[in-house]
Amino acid sequence: MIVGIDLGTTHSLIGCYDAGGARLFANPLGSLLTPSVVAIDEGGHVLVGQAARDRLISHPESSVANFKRWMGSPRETRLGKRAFRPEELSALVLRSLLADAEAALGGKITEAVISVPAYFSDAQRKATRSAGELAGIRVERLINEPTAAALAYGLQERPDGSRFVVFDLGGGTFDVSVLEMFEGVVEVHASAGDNFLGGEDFLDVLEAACLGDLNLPVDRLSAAQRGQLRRWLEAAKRELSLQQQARVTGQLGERTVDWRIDQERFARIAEPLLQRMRMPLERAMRDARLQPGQIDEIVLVGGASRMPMVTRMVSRMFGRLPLRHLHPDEAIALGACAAAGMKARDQRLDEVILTDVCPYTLGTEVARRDGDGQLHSGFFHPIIHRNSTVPTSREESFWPTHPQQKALQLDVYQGENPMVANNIKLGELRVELDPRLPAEQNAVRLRFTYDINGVLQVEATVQATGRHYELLLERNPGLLLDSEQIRQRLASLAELKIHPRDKQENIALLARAERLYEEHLQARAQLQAWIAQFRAVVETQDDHLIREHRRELGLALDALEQA
Amino acid sequence: MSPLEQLGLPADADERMVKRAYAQRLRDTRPDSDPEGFQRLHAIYQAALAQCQRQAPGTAMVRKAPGEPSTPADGTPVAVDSPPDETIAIAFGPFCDQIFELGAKGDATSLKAWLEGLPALWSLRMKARAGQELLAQLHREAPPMSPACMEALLAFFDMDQARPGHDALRLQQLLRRMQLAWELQPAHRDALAERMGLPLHSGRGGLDLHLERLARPFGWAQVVRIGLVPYEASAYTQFIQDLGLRHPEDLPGTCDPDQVRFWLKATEPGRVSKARLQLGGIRCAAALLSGLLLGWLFGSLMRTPPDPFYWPAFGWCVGLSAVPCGLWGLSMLMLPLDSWHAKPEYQPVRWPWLNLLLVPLLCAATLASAEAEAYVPALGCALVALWLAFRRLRRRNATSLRLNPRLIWFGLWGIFMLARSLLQDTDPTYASSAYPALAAATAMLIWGMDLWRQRHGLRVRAEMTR
Repeated sequence: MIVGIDLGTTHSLIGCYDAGGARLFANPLGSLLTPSVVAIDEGGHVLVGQAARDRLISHPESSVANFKRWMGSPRETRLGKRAFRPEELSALVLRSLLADAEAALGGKITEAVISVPAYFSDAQRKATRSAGELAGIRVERLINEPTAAALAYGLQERPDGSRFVVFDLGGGTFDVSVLEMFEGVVEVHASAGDNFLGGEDFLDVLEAACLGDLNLPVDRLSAAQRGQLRRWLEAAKRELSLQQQARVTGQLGERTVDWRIDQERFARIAEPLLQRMRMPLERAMRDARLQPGQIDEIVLVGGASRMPMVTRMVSRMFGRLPLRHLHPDEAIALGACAAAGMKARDQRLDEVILTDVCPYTLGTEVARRDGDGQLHSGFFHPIIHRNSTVPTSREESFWPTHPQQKALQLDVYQGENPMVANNIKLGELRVELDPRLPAEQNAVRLRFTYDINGVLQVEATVQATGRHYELLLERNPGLLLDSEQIRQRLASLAELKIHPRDKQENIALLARAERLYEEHLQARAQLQAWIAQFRAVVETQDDHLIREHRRELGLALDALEQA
Repeated sequence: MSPLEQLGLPADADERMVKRAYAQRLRDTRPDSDPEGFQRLHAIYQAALAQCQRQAPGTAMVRKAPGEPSTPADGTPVAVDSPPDETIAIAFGPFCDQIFELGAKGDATSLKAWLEGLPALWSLRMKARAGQELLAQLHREAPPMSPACMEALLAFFDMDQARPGHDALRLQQLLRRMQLAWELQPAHRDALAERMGLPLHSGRGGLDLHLERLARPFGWAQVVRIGLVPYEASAYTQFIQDLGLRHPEDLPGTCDPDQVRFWLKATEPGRVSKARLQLGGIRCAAALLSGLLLGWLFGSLMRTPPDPFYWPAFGWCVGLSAVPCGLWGLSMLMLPLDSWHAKPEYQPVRWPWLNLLLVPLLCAATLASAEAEAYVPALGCALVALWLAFRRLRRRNATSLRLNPRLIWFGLWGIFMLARSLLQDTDPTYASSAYPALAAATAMLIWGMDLWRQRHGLRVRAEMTR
């Protein structure tokens, strides 16, 4: 069985495609959404999900969230005694998800399809694959998130012969894709996005406004207080999606906070973020070579797309209204499940074929001659244009600029700027030439092949001699883990202790109580008593008693939080 | 075979049929299991779609080539399909004017804010057209604009992109022109001085003077004034080049193009042009004239009573002024010869055989004259051959052969001194015939070195095989 996984910035989901279609699995707490948060508790056990999220407030020094944004970078986070790379943190989340799936399916899972933002770079994709390996599974395929959402939408609605835009504003990433469905073919026309734009940025804006109004410098807050404030603001943000106004009240250390914000002000302060969403949308439409009038539907996915100002912006840009929200939180996971089903060649999915695009431009550096015959170097010459349908293979010929040139340096770049200085260098290939030949007979054929999994292969052939060169894109030394490092880290991750699955509900409840202890100054004595009592009950190992007590404590905490 | 036929469709097939045929074929050639087959199929599919649209341009969806200029004339308001309650229109002419005005102020933040706040540009359609219109207008007018504003403009309209149809070199040239036009405005000259690396206070004066001269219409009085001051002409050209005015078409409106063209031509190294001859002619005339005047002055002052004029002083003055003029004239003659002779082997030349064998011919002439005891022409021929051979070797092998010219001249000087010390005690007639022969031999040696290096690509060879 291949599972489909949505490894999100704020939440992650897992599911599979079986007899009943795409099906998502719940975690031990009964929720489909597992927060992408990792914590280490006092006993050195790893906590993932809601419990870890609660511990962000009670124990911020040993908990971490939003690590998807660091994927593909060597940044390490210290939790307890050990430093973790973003791949390892993702692997811990994956392990927790896989445990849920294994519990539901009753078997070992070895393969998965994982969704990544369409605009993820090569390094970020490779890091995601490494995370899968660290979690002990083989990543069969990485599917682009908007494509996954489109697949979910397409399979659900079967909108034959229509073109639509999927607008995916998640917790930390923003993606746009233009797609077409016809005769069981899901054809992606174009994808664009911003890897550092999502719901979290809107929260940052709210936080800045709130702290500004309260005249409270952010460094005066402890990490726990800040986490608490962000939790309140997150609730306020959600409230603003439904109502005109939201209010934040509570006790923040010594200070009593009472802050109001209305939708209009929120839209005003979030304006720069909305402006940043224009460019990807424009690019995707331009690359798809479609006019807004030729789009049949605009599908909004991702939790942050619920905000009214986002809907308003999209309808302003397309000049019309029909928008459709599609289970904003689950669409991508459902699509990833469908992709997993397609990978396993599920009978009912066999008639669906997906063609995807390469989201960025790949090319090489060239020198250009102007009208006066003067050479200007540093120009980017695209070979595979962005939003070409993959797999794709393109070939072009290049000539040396000078006669008697002994070698040709072919630098491989990824990016959109016409000058290579502003693009990312992926690698280089040095091709030996025969200096005796005149320049025009010294052509080098350069071939770029981009496969369905986003792996680039570069080949060069010297036309005169027939010599063949190949480039292995071993890039970002230090940024990514090699297979030896993965083996080592896999072994060291295996040593980490994890609470047994049936205990996790208790642990999550305790974590929640501890968070409330931090948040509610007045009820501290009460909470302390409850926590001690519950610990004592857990010690008895009497399942019936524990379940009974857990229910009661849960209700009591609910009542406290709503007060 | 047309793409439609390859899909097994009739020639009048429509888009729906193409898509159906493509979808059917796709089942056997999936992108994940048969990448090559899929690429071929996809290429056929795209071609078939394009063919359909050509056949039925009105009914099919509009697939516009990226970067294709839009058609509406300036100032025509265009309505856009927008949410039904509002109709947004934009007049492109005033819109561009407004952008140019804001850009000329150089305040990128306010330009960006203004653009972001324009309700009409939220519409995807409107913005794409406005961007195209603006780019065309920029190319037409090249208005003065600060680099920060241009950056903001390019970023907002996403114009600076490596896409098919986008000419990056042309855009860069446009940006340079606009930046220059902006910097040449009196208020922004400090920025210009900074870019050119001029000291702020002392540099400003020279900058203003040069710019003021550039703005004047081209005239001979100015050529005389600048040309006759030592080093002034080259400093002036250097200034023009530092400005970034390598192409006369880059000129902002305030400069006189004839002026720039003249000075760039007149001081271009290694090439004889009309402007260079004119400038040199003026200088020679001035030198000869002053020589004559001084000669007359000294001749009259130094006369001894019986003679009315002291001719030797006059002769010296005129001679001294004539020698540099003569040398200059000689170099003007030699330069075209050198540039023809030292042309790289891969470029065609007139008289390729003569080009190849000029040095041996000159050397032969040297030996013949020496044999006929005409030592001065022999030495002249030999020196010309030596110079030509040396220049040929150096200029044609510049990329592969790093030659230090000074070292080589020292080497030649060393050979000469050695020869002199060896020939000191011999018969003078033998010695005077030995020098030209030695020079000719050296020339042949250098010429042979060049021939060896170029042996594979000789143009006469290609001619012979043809």
